[in-house]
Amino acid sequence: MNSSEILLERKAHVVGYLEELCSTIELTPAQIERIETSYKAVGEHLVDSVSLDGFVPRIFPQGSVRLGTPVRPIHPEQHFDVDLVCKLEAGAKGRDQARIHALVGDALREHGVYNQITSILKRGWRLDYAESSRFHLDVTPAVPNAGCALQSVFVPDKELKVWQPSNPDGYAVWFGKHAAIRPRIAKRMIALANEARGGTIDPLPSQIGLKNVLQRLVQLLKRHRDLLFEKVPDRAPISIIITTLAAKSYAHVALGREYESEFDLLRDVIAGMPNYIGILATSSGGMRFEVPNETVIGENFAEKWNKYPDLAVAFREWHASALGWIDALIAIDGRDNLQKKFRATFGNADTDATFKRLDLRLTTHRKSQTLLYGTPVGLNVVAGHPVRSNTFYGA
Amino acid sequence: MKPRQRILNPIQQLMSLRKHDPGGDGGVRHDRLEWLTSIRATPVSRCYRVKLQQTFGSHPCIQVLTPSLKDLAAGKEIPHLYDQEKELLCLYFPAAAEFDGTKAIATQILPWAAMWFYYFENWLVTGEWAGGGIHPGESRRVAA
Repeated sequence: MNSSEILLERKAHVVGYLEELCSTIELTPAQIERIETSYKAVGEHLVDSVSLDGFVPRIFPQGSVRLGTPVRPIHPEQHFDVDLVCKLEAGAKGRDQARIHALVGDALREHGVYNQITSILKRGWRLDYAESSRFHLDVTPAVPNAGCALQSVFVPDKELKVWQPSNPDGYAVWFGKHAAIRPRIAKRMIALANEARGGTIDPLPSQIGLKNVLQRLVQLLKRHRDLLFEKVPDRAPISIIITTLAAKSYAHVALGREYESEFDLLRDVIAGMPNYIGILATSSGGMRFEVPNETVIGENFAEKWNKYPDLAVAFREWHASALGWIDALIAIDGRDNLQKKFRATFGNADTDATFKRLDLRLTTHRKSQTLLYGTPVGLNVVAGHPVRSNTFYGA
Repeated sequence: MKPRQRILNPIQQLMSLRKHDPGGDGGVRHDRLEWLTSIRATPVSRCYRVKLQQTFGSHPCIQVLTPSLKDLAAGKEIPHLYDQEKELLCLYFPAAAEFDGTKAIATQILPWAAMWFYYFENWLVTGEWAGGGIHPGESRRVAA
């Protein structure tokens, strides 16, 4: 058994486990459908509402649901936040932000049911579906920024008391362009992935590639962050920073060279993330951090780091942990140790569900006599000797 | 009617092992076959070094040399071993005619050993043996 051959096989196998874990931690199609049904209903109500008559409201998702990077909370009883924008396409010019904020709230409360579940947020309103469906719909009012070439919007802010620039549409498009960049992975990996897509039912980890490298990476990193900062959530690097840095790093890395494996690509993307944090000297001799929003001139996602320097420290701690984690993944010997590592990183419930699902697949192949054995890959469904039916015995 | 298959002698088993398991090594002395090889169930699994022995006419025997299963199991009794001390794997139920002398060890037994190690590493985490099997004294086959 050639050790570099085994390493390559191991990397492919680990990627399969990561992809399967992502399926476990994201929203299910049923959940997404429920969310869509709910917010479309809210949208229709707002269009017909009295308070927003003449404003032409349009409701659409922003945030992780829009970007394709949703991650369920670690604990099943926690609620998932769905971020929505309620854009007022007309009639809002020159209006006070507090007034617009209040109007949208009034519109929501015209509805008997929504009235019961609406509460105020800094930038909008929350509809609490927690009782029935364990999610919140956070509705942010927005008005167009007529002068902006990037088609940004303004959103209200209860604390700052002035309109804040934002660009959820623009950001989603920006992220989407990055996610669509096709990485160049060696032919062998592509062949394996094609084999799996070509109709292999119950693919085993070596045959499973990442659905989309950037989206999956963001999901993994967010869940890793959630667990690492579970006890100190205020220090946790915010998702938009992780997402933005991952996107920039991915674009650079994926366009840079051909990769032998998706694993190596993931590793390099993580390693490169800090390169996209702008660090500028201030006139007073200090440091200023910048993670610019490419779709809103002047918006700095890392603004809070400049107010609370510990957040920059927390980011470095998180990043070191993420990099250490991915490097450790392929140094692990023993599927039991891999499972323990996944548990520590992603949580027990979701890890165990993932590993159990993959066990069942292997057992299904064993029962239907489609499982094979060969060296160096071991048990697989592509090449080798059939694993015949047997009954383990012994005391 | 299916032609009667011939029982493979130790040399034949050895040739088959050399062909299908090129990473291993061994030989035949008198009537006894001995084969040392490594088994890795999946690319993320451990590599287990095993010694396979068969005296012509008897069932083959697989012993785990390294790593120590006992250490990995932290003292818990390991399912489906013939011998906890010697760490002899128990891969098939003799009365069920899953293996006999007409079958090649290389293509029958080694894959079962891989399965055993797969379920062993699973058992280390979950405490449950997910590979099915029965214990001496049980009369019915447990669905795998």
